[in-house]
Amino acid sequence: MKKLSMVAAVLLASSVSACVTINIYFPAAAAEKAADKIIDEVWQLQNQGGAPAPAKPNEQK
Amino acid sequence: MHSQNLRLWVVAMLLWLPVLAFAAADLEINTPAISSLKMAMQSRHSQLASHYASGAVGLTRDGLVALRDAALVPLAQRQAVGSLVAAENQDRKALYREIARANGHPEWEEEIHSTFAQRWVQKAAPGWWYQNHGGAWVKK
Amino acid sequence: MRFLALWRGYVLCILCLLPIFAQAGQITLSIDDIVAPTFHVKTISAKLDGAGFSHFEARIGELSWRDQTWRNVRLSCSKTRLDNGAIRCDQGELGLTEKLPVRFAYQPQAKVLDLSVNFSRDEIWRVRAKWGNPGWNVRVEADNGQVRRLVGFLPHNSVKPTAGTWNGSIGIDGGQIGMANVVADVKLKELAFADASGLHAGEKIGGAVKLDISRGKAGWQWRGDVDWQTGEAFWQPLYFPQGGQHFSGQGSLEGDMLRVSQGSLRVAGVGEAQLSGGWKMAGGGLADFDLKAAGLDLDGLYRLLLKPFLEKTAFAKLQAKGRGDLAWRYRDGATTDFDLTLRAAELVDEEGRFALRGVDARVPWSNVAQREAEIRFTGGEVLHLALGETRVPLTMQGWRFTAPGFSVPLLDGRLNLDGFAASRSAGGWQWNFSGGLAPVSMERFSAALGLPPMHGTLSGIIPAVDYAGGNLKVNGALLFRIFDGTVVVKDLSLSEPFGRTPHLSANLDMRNLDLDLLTRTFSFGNMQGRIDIGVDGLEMSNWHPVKFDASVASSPGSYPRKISQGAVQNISSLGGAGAAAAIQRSFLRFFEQFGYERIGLSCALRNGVCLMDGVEPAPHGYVIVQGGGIPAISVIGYNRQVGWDDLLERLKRITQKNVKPVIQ
Repeated sequence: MKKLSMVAAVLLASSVSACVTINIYFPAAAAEKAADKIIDEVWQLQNQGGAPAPAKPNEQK
Repeated sequence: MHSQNLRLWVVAMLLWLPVLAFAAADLEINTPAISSLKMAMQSRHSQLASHYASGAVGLTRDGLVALRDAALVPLAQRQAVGSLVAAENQDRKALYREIARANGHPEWEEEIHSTFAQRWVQKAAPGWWYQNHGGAWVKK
Repeated sequence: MRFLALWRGYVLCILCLLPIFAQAGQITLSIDDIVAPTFHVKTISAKLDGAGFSHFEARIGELSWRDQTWRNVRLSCSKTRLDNGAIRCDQGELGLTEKLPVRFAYQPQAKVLDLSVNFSRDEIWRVRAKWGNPGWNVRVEADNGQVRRLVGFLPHNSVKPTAGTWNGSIGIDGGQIGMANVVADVKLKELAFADASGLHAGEKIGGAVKLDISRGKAGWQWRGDVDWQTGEAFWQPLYFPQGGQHFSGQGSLEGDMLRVSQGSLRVAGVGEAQLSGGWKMAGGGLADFDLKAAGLDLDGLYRLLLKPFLEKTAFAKLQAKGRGDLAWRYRDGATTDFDLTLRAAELVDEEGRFALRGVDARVPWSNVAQREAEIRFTGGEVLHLALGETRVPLTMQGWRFTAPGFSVPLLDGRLNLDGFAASRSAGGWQWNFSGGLAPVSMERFSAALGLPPMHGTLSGIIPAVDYAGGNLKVNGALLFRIFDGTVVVKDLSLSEPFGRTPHLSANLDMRNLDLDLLTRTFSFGNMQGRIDIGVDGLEMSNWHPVKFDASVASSPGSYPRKISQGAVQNISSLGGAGAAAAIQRSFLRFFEQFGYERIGLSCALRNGVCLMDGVEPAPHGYVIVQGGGIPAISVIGYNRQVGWDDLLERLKRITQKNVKPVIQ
């Protein structure tokens, strides 16, 4: 039981520290995905089902 | 004992969940600022595309564009192409900054910048010019 | 300057023929190596032999001019005639970079050499060299001479002529110490030049160059006249689409300092300027400079000369009109004085962000002394808000400008500024002011900004406004009075207001707004009462809201509380739902107005989604309008998440979803 709680503590500590690293960790995969999406739109690379995705601008002012 | 062990693992898994959720999450790229930059760049692209193809304008290794060989552009248009390049770079820098800002992490700007640098080159059409890691111009 | 210098190269190989020694059956020319700082000629030999001295041949082992070296330069003629002591050749050959047909005549007694090279039927170069005491002179003339032949004489890393011809003459006089005088009178046709990068290039340039350079005591004196009549040129970032430029002037060249003591420059479409100054040629740039120009055309000046340098500023796309005068003094790498006058000028931003019309300004600036400037304009606009006639008195102390206080008519009110100060430092411009806004009618204000017509007036106090490093910050609270209530704007800051993506953040606190006025304005269906609106942590990007916590709630206090049927329907539609039909189906349709106890609606905008809440929770929803009095009506919303764009759409279209009126 004691051993178990040790394991728990270690796991907890590791997951807590993992959580801490998340905050400064750059989401490379998501960034790449976002970049690809934007580049596809800007360069109009993929067929986007007709017209390029209209960015819905809110009513000006 | 077993069940306790199992429960422990579940707890650990749950604690890890935010990581997974986080990794899978998309970046916010639908703010008004990003949309307007994207639209400006999209409409500029119709003017820049032929210069990418001719090699007059190339993709730099730092995620921007540069006038690679002005001599490929008729004299009367060189100033205009220079302006296009400057405007495109201004928008690209603003785009990287806005994406970082929209996701609540202004400090990501540089990493987003370098992510884009790679993706632009990756997605460039064959025949376009880009700068390799050493800074030399290479035809794709 | 460069043209003249070049010619020495060609002249050299001819001057090598100086002393002549004759032997039986063969005349040998013996010449020592010539070594000078900019050139050297080595291994020179020449002989005249064959039957009747008919064969002439001269060789130069190495001819070097600056960085250029030619080896084995050869001049030969198989049909040389000796005629009254003169050597003549009508069919010779010159081997320099290519083999060319030449004619020459050499008179040893008079010490005159005439050489003419026919590159083609139309292209003839003629050289006449004469020497002896006290000096020598060389004259080069060309008919349709290809300018590109000069490429080899130009230094590396510079623009090179690629096409074009020249006609005219270049004459060089010299003595024992070298060149003493150069006179050139040249007409250029279809000249093209470019550097390797293509960033400095010209095409189809036609014009005339006259130059007279002579050796003075300390250096060279020059006088010149350049007339660029036709053709285009790009000199990054400037582009001149056509000719019409003219320069004439005189000055000196001492060491590497090129001086213009008196110059006059005319640029087509811009105007004329008198200038003088010194230019360090070896990369030192401009040392000092004086320029005086009157009656410059601001349109041409902006488009041709200023715009390319303003690309990243708010003045990147202007329509400029009017006239201006400028006197500019530059010493040791810095501006010491300028005096700028604008007359009837107009500066209009093509993107509609600002405009100034009828600008008359006098700005006599000095980097040491305090000066007074005055700027007037008859009208203009900023972000579509019309400005009236204004006079701004400025006190300038170097790059620190202050104005004691002035007022700008804004729509039908006035913006009063006091304590305006601006200064420039390494980090760019910074400025600050405080002031107040005298009543501006909301009708005019809302019309100017394209908002629904509002009633009431806008007035307020503007505390310290600071701008530095591209960020505008309002310290303290902005206070406005609209809709019979107060609006306090706190923590307002604006980054890159004229940049690509302006960001605004602020906290708004509105109190006691008159609902009657407000609903009338937005044609929302009449409501009576008073409300408070709070917008916390408002963030706008590119003038669109991206984040805020907003809440609308009935103000405390006692006042009549009435809500019309139309308003109920419209409120319902904010959360989505079908209230109209329900009302229409019930007896409530007979009532035009209902009483209410409280109204409350909040929206927390995050990532384009509005998280909504009301006055208090209701089963599976939230209360937006809590009924009270007779007949009373409550509105309950069930949809807590509404897309912001949808919400705006709904506000516009008034369609209904997910909200049911609870009829009591």
